[in-house]
Amino acid sequence: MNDPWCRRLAITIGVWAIVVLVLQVVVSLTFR
Amino acid sequence: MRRASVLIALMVALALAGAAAAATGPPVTCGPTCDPGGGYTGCKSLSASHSSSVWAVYSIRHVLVVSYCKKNGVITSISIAAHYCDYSGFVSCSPTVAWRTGGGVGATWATFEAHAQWTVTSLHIYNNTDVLGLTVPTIDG
Repeated sequence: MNDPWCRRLAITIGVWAIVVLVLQVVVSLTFR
Repeated sequence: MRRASVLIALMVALALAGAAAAATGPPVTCGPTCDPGGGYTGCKSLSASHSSSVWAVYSIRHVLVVSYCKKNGVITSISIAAHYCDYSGFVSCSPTVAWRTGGGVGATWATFEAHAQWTVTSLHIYNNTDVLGLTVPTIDG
């Protein structure tokens, strides 16, 4: 985790997961 | 002379009655709600859809189209004309099954249900199902 590349990857995946989760909630609530 | 007068009076009365009847005009055109033997005759298409979008992020639309013909308000033919998804951006959608859930040929109404599977991003982490309902009403036209 101390490896900068590894850390960047973890942050990227984390941000992507949050974006996906937010989109999932938004679409679920508005897809009517 | 008296008999002739009575005859003339009778003819005048009949003529007046005929004129009065003619003055009432043509019968009122009756729709399906007031004519028991009537009802819609013709062919139509109905559609139902669900949609959602966020500008520049995603857009998704699930559509079901049903075509039918009626004679005197009774369905003579009915079918699913189209079932599809339109999407763009960070979502994807795929229409799955669609079927008639009630009514149909011989009835005055019909109901349909259509499913589509959608997901955020192409990773398909969360798969979701959208359920669309469509009703062909008894009274249309």
